[in-house]
Order: sequence, then structure tokens, then C-alpha cells
Amino acid sequence: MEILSPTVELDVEKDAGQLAGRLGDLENRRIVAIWNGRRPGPGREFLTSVLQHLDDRHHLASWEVVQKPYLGNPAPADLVDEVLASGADAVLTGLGD
Amino acid sequence: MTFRATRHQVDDIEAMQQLCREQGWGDGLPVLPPTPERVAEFLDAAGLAPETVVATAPERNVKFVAESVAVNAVMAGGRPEQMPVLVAAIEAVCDPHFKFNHLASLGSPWPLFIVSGPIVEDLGLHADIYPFGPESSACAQLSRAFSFSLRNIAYARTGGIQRGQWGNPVRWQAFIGDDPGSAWGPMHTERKFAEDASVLTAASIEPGAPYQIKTTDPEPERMLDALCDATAGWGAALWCRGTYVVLVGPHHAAWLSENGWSRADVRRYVLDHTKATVADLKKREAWGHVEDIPPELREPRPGDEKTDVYLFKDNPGLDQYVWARSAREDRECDVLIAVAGGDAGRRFSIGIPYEFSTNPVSRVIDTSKISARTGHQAPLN
Repeated sequence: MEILSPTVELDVEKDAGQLAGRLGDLENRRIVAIWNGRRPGPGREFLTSVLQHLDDRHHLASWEVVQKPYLGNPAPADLVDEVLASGADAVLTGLGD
Repeated sequence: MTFRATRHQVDDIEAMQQLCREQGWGDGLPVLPPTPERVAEFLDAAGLAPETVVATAPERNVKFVAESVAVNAVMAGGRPEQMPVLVAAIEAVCDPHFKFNHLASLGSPWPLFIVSGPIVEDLGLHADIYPFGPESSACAQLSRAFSFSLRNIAYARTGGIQRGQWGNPVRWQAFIGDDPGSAWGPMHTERKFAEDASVLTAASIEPGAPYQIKTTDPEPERMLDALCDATAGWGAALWCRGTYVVLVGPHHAAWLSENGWSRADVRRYVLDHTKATVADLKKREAWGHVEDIPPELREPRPGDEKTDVYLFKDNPGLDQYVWARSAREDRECDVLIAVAGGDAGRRFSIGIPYEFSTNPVSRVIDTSKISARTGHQAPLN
């Protein structure tokens, strides 16, 4: 008897997109972290601390933590556009729960 | 039909069960073999090509392709004509307004699907006595098909993404029919759908719910006061704003209707009268447990016992202290009233919304293929 699998095999190349290009170094770069917004919890403080740490070590041009409107949904396109328009060289997404 | 799914060869039904256990595809109970022929029959029943994308869940990088949904429905032991209902359920939970990813939360929420309209009778969806019991076969099959679809397509496996503290028994019995003979008519008219439509409404609820509350006073306002008290009193620190599901027995609906109470009147009464005092909320740790609130504001103060906080209404000057973060997000505060269950007993049943900001979502069920299969002249929606 022949049966069909109930699972979906992810086509990594087609479905998962591509990894972003790597930055050679962080000096004089702008880094933005997108926090999922979960409260209560130390998420914002944690990500702020991470970026502060990167700034201390690598002398960033600027950094910022922004918040998604809802923790369980992907960041909306207009937020991503806003982050990119701010001149971000790299974007971190973080839970920080 | 051409299928994309991986194919497996099994010798017999026992070998199928063994493969299912090895692959982690099921729920521990026997499954039916999803042969290409049977899967094709399910797709035909919904008028879907195998490659049709029913819905997407970008949070999981997942597409619910019709072929995979049908495979899971076959395994669950259902009937082909149930496919349009399952499709509507998946569409509903993938609506961004529902917020799919909250289903993975530690609090173990799961959608309760209320189906209303002619399809309830057409498919034998249970809206009568003992609806959450084991003999509601069509509802149980749909529940299992939905559960399998999320498990096998969207990774909702226990110990994987599904890591809830307690789990949710509604996952076994997630579908319920709205009484087609209700004195109030079908539930979906309250949500602005045509009366003759068949509609599925998905509302995410906490485990342990629907839970029952008992009333003894036949006077309508006293009955509803008991309902309001129970709605406000549930969950200790979960003073949870959102959309509550209230299941009303057909005899209670008839009684309220005879006494001049429409479904909209009952909804309005619950929205206006569900409340707790500040003293109650402080005692149950539902007060002041938000950020930036000085701890001393959580301590009891004179007058707390005389200050009401309403669950469904704004409370100027008070809301910032209430543990109801979801109220700050795009969340509907409402009451969905369905008529279901047996026609004896003095109990309402309440479904509590999950604490994060999920919202109910309704979808019209495409009944055109169902009427062709059952011979019933169901209306076109």
C-alpha cells in the first residue's frame, strides 16, 4: 500500500530565503535591534545592554532598539522599511524574554 | 492528481501505525492510511487542487498546502465533505488578526471552533447534548484533522514548538456546532454574516475551559449576574481582557428569548456588568503587576472594596494598574454567545480568551461542494 507523508519538507533554498551578508567589522556601523515587545520582562534592557556592549567594544556609529507591535507576529513591512531607511547596516531580532 | 508529498510503502494497516509512531505523525491513536486515492477524494470534496495554498503562517515559515491538509484529514479518520470546514479553520487561525503563533505559548491555548448555519445539520456537527464528549464523531474528526495539520505542517509537536505547561483538552474536541434550532437564530448574524450562511468562528481559549457555572435563579438578570461574576472571577492574576465565549443551553436561550432578551441584549448586559473591585484584584495579584508601578501601589488601601473595575469597559485612571497587557494591543473586548449543549441543566459554560492578544476570526465555509455530495440543497454563500 502506498501512502503520502503528512509532513512538509522545507525546501531550504526556495522557502527559507538567504542569509544576510556578513559585516566585516562593526566600527562606525549603525545597528538596530528589533525587540519582540514582551512584557513584563527584561527584553528591552537586555538588548540595550547587548548594543551598549557592542558600542563599547567596536565603536558603533549609532544604535537603537525598536519594538514590534505584537510579539507573536513577524515585524511588519513598514517597521522593517523604517529600520532600513534609518541607515541600519545590520539588524538584530531578539526575544530577550 | 499529481502530489508533491514523499511516498512511503507499507504492507498493511499495522505497518502504517508503526510508521506513524516512528515518524511522530500522530497522537497515539490509530490513524487511517492516506493513500493517494483517498487524498484525492478529500481534495475533490473541497474543489481544491493539490498545490493550492490554503493559508500561510509566516511566523513558522509555513504554507498550508491543500495536499498536506488533505493527507492529515484522511489520517484523522474524517469524511471528505468535512474538508471545507477544515480549510476554513486553517484560514481563520492564519489570519493575522488571530495571531497564530500564540498557540505555542506556555499557557497552552487552543482554538475553539464554533460552526453555525445549515452546515451544522448537513455534516452532523454536534450542537446538542454532551457536545464535548466522545460521541461527537464529526467534531472529533475535525478536531483531530486540525491538530494533525498543525502538528505535521506547522511543527506543533509536544516537546517541539508545543511546550505548554498543561496542554489543552480542547485539542481533542475543538469543534462545536451552534444550535441550528436556537430561539436566537445562528450566532454568526451577530458578526454581520448573512443568516443563511455557514460560518466558522475560531476563538482561542485557555485550557480548563469551557468551564461551567451554575445558576439557580430563573430571573434573567440574576442568571446573567451569576455569569458576570464567574467571568470576572476566573483566573486569579489573569484579569484577562479579550473576547470570551459563552455557551448557553437551548432551554436557557428559549427562556431568555421568551422574557424579551435577545442574544444582543445578553451580550450587552455581560459587557456592561462584568466587574471586580480593586480589593479583589489586589488580593488575586491582578493589580499593579505591570512595569513601572511602584510596589506600594499594590498594597490594600481604604476604599478599594468600593471601587469597581470593569472587564469589558474602559476604567479611566485605573486601567494602567491592571494586569491586562493585552488591552494595550489590538484586541477586541467582546462576548461571543453560542447556543449549544443539552436542554436540561442550570449551567452556562465559559471559554476564557488566552491572555495574549489573540482575536476571534470568522470565515464563511464554502458549502457548494458539500451540498453536491450530501444531496442537501445547502445555500450558496
